[in-house]
Amino acid sequence: MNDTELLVKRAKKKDSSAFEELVRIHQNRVYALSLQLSGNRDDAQDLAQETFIRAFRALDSFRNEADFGTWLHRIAVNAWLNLRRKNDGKQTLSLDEPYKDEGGSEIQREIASDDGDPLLALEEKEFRGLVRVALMELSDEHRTVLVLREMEGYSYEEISRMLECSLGTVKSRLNRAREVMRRKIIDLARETGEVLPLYEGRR
Amino acid sequence: MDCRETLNLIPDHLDGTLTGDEQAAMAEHLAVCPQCARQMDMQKRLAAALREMGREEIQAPPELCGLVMSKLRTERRTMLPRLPAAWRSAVAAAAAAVLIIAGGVAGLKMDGNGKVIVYSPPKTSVIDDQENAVPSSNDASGNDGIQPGDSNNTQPPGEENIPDAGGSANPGESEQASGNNGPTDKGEGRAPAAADNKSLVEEPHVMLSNGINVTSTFLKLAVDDLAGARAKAVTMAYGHGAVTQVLPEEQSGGKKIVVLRLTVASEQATSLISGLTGAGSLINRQDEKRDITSIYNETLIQYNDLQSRINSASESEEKRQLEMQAASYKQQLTAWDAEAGKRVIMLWLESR
Repeated sequence: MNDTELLVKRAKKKDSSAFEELVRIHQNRVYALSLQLSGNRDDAQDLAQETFIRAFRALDSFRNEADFGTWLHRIAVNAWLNLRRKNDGKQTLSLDEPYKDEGGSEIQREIASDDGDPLLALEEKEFRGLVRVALMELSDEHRTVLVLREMEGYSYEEISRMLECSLGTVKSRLNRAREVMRRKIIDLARETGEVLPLYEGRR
Repeated sequence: MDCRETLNLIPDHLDGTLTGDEQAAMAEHLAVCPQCARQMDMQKRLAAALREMGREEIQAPPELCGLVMSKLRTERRTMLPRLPAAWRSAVAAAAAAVLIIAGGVAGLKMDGNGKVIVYSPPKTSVIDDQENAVPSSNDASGNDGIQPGDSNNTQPPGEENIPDAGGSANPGESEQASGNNGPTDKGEGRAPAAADNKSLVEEPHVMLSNGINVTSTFLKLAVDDLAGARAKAVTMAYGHGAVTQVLPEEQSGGKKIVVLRLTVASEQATSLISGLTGAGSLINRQDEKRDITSIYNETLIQYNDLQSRINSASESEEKRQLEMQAASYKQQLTAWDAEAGKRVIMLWLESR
């Protein structure tokens, strides 16, 4: 029986020092995801705490064959989405509808507007800055799939389990998210090029 | 392959799931279509950036663990009388923690044979020679249990918890401390189903006519490697079948301190204590035997009182609050039941 298994077993019996040890072991991973999802340290702290508290209450439902860290992540994602839904997340973008411009065919329009690449000149560090900003501007659900897939490296199957939706939904949501990101990054890069403060005039 | 197909396949390309043919066709298209090539490039760059960001070593803030544990414990606490702020210092707390089981006694009257208790509401704090004080009021503002180190409000986040050194007097803690001893309460949601009179009949706790005593040993050791000593102690405790509570690290006078609260069967106590003593240099040892009869009875009375209030409560929110309180009391009583006849070891480890 490895460390985590033993600790979980004892924690299930309400041994608080065992649970505390589990918190110590997994807190970085949980906090990291919380930070990626929420984008700021305060919310990340709250989310991470909430995750562990829920985990403790739900210990009975954890089967030892699963991966404890992944299980914690699942709880974090759930907690995050519930939290956002309650607070009526600021995102109004409809999730799975096709991303549309004002008119015309989706794809053609986007190609046409890709004039001259402001991004070519961007160094990696600057590019990543734009990515961060754009990521926070995504809807919660878009950001969640992107974070889970691209940052945490979870499989489509695992993500569909976490989000309790079909594989197809995961994939299409991911595609949307990627496309929205692409648009945002381009817009941001343009605005940056025009020396506009990054946050002003955001839609 | 045209633009539409190419763009649709970008995700699969990123996933590495394209067939050889698809790859080739895509490459051909990209060679001649700058717009698609740009999109592909962007998506690759985006994926790479996100992956890098995901690899960053993010550290959880140091207070996170403490906050989580304190919140878990706070959830169980309700209205037991609280101890004054004088308990804040680690020294007072740890010393008092040994004696916390006895708590304070406030106004409990017993008649001759000790069986019948006349309960008169305690008026003011009674301070015994160890500065144990049990304030009287049982108000509904989320006061914490009988434990040292609390501030004047409900446990503020981040204020860490030598209070839980008083684990046996903390109803919330006691559930965890007694976890191995069998009470089936699980998780904080399980308030007793006190909606009907039956629960009073099912009350397992009996008024104590004989005294119950809890023996405590307070061990203070100086060690070189605090974390190592802590781990060793936990292992040893586990080996002796003890239930362990590790309290968060504290600082006192420039030294780091870790306190562990171990509950072990009496027959194992001697062996465990000598083992633990070997983990460092012994600075101090105190053995204490305390009679918790009175505080036990007082708690029991308050519990029964709560039960009757629950039965007569009409408003569901009020009822829920009362049930939560009652659950805390019950846990405390159960913990005391479990500890009676066992040895509690307060192990104080400090770095040299």
